[in-house]
Amino acid sequence: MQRITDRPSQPAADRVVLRGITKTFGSNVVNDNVELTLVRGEIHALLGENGAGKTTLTNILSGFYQPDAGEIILWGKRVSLRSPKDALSLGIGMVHQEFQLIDAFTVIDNILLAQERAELRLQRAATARTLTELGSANGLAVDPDRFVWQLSVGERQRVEILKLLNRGAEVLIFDEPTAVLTPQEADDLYLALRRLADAGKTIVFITHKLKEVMSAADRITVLRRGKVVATVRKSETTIEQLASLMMGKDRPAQSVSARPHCDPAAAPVLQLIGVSAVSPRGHIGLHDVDLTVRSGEILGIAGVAGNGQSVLAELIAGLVPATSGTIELDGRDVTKCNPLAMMKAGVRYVPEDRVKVGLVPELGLTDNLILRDYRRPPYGNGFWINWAQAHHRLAALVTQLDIRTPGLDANAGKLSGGNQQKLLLGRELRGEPRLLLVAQPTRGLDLDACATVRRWLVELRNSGIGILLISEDLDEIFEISDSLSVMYRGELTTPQPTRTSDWSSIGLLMGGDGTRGRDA
Amino acid sequence: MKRAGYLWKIAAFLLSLCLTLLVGALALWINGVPVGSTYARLFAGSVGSISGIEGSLAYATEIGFTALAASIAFRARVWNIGAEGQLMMGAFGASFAALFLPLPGPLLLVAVIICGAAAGALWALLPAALKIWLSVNEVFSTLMLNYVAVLWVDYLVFGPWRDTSMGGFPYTKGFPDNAMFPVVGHAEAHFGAILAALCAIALFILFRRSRWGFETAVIGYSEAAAKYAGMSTSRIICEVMLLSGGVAGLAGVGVVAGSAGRLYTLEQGYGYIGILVSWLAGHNPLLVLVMAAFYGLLLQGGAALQMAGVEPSLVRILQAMMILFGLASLTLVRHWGQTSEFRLWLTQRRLQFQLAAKDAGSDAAREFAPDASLRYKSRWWHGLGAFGGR
Repeated sequence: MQRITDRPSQPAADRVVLRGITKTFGSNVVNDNVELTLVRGEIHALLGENGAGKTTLTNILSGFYQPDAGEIILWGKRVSLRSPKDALSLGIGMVHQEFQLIDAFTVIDNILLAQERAELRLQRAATARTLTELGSANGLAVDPDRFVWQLSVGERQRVEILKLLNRGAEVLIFDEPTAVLTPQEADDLYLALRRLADAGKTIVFITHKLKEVMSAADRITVLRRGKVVATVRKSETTIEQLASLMMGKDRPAQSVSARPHCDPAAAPVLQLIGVSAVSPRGHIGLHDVDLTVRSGEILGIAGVAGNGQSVLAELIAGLVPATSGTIELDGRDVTKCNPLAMMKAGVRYVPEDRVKVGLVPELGLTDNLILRDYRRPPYGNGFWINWAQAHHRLAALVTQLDIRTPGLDANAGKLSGGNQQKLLLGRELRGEPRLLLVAQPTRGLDLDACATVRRWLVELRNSGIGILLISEDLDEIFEISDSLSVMYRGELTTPQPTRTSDWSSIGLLMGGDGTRGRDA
Repeated sequence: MKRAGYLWKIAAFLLSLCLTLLVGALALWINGVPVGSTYARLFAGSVGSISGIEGSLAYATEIGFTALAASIAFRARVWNIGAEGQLMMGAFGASFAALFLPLPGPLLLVAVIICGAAAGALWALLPAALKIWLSVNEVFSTLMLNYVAVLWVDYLVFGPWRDTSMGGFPYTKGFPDNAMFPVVGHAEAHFGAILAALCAIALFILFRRSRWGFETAVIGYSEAAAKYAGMSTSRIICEVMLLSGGVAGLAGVGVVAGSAGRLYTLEQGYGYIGILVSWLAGHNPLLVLVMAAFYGLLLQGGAALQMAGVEPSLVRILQAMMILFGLASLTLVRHWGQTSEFRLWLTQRRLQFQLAAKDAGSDAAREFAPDASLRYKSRWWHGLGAFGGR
């Protein structure tokens, strides 16, 4: 593998250099001798897959972690960052994925709270003025007097940025800033980041989305398994090159072997005909969606988060009503069915939010095992619950699926993400589903767990179940789906066989256009 | 593991009791009240005599019902703070049956109990309906309806139901004998105490073993998960409110059909005490019984002190301190049991201490065990740590 390293020509006083950074957790080397140079006024993307060490690296730069080896040279001076506070006082600030704001406070109060040295009298009016100036100068306008709970996700992110700017941050780090944003909000964010960079700030953002990198970054550092594989200028690279740098090899066309030919005439299990729905949380809903999942087929739904995928999943699970159109399961109209009826009709659902929806972390494993089936034998027995039987089944499931748990009486919250997902899948696969609806099944899982989950899905498909796979992970969709369709702003493209689809054209569809116009 | 959790709770309870007695002694001493004899009287008035125990039991019965009502609702995170009003309506329903239904023999008592529970349940149904259909927060609606219920009972006893033959007192006529609970003991303790215990056991089984108990627990932790599991959250909230109101109504039945034998301007506050007791017991019905019994002792002891001429406000201060210390120590225990940092710290200290004990006379030993008494205490404490937590 060639090592491409772009060396910036700026003087040392305009550079932030991370040299020889190594960080290990236990026996796991997360950052291995990492070299990274940031330049004043640039937008620098850290690109890599899950587990490549991007987040650890930025946590070191922002003072959350101390490196085991290596040094940080900030504007020509060697610094040691012992805490986020240290980093912030030197002008390095981070915007985390989870916003650190108090919902019950107004914007201005959140800003005041984050100020380094609160005076006895809060300078509310003066700070509000600064805030408005900062906001309008950088395209980050937020009304200082609104409460945080009244703000959209995008606006909250702006408050986080303003917090840092108000503290005088010169280097701003973003951890997957667009993961929670709608495409429009993401566009606004990138405009704001560009203005900040033009004003001399240094912007670093973490992502694994290639398209985002190409549209927003000046320079890109690609990490793979804790090592820097390349630092390139955007103008000198292509999506294809970045993808192969990130993956470490040219993308295999099909990695799940023994793929049986999916019969295009197989009986449809699920059919959506012209279905529209409204998001209960005020996000993008569904607009006139047509979709067919056949028996023994995995249909992958690709798309950037927040384009209506969660509404689609909830609609099919019966949690969100359709405003128009029909849903058919095995030819039977189930448009008006509630979650219970959908479940009885054979739709099993692995929701995107494992911890808040799919499981109850405060309850035990047994409670979670019977969460959806407590009404029926073997668990439900009229008025009572047969706990003995439930414990028995849990013990069997734990052995069968190799769920790692501190004990059978542990709470579900004590399991790691991968083991939670195993429990959830194990539960949903009982009772012979007709259709399995899985949303982001491998999000946050380590590589082993990902592989296991994907293998199971393929095996299930081979056994004749129809699977609707909603995922933001395009790799996953390419790996296991038979056909795929892209969701963008509540609409779904016509499904195409995965075999004949090519990666970059799907990536472009996810961005909302079928031509390369925007990237060229 | 579970038993160790109870150990911690008992330790916390004893701790709070000691602290209360200590600070209470200080308050008494400052006010020039003799500490020793006052405590002796408190003890004698609550558990030291048959009548004291009976009085305590009567208080405990009333609080037990309201606390059970609270535990039903709070377990499902339905904030029914209307046990006070549901108690009043329960007393009203029971009195209606006792005064106006011409039923023979024990049938009348059955009707009294059913009418009381039904009146409490219906009074709770109103806020449930408002919550489900109009998203009205049940905290407000149940609280407001408490005042309505109190005034409704006042209206009845001062107005249409007043027994004019009793002179100027705001009483109804006395209930017929067959509308009254059988007396347990001499005078004050009544069948309601047994009913409350049965209720607690039934609820315990219901919570642990039934589908409904499972549903309410899931709703309490996560409404999103409950919906995902196909539960009808509106139906369950409605049922929770009905049951909670019904049990609170039984508290009212106990007051009128247990001891008083008539409807009058009922003493207020038991509904709110029930909320406290339920929290202290962690919404566990069996622990609710224990805590209610203890609170009954406290109230009865307080009443005895007042009769002995101790300033009523001092008595109130003692009671309030018990609650404060009790809540604080329980919270502390829960926190300690769950905080891994604390467990880690404890383990480290234990290791250090063992090292120090082995190498007595060394610097480490001096640092960690300055004298024999502290060393003893530390060992005792560590012993708890070895069992404690979950």
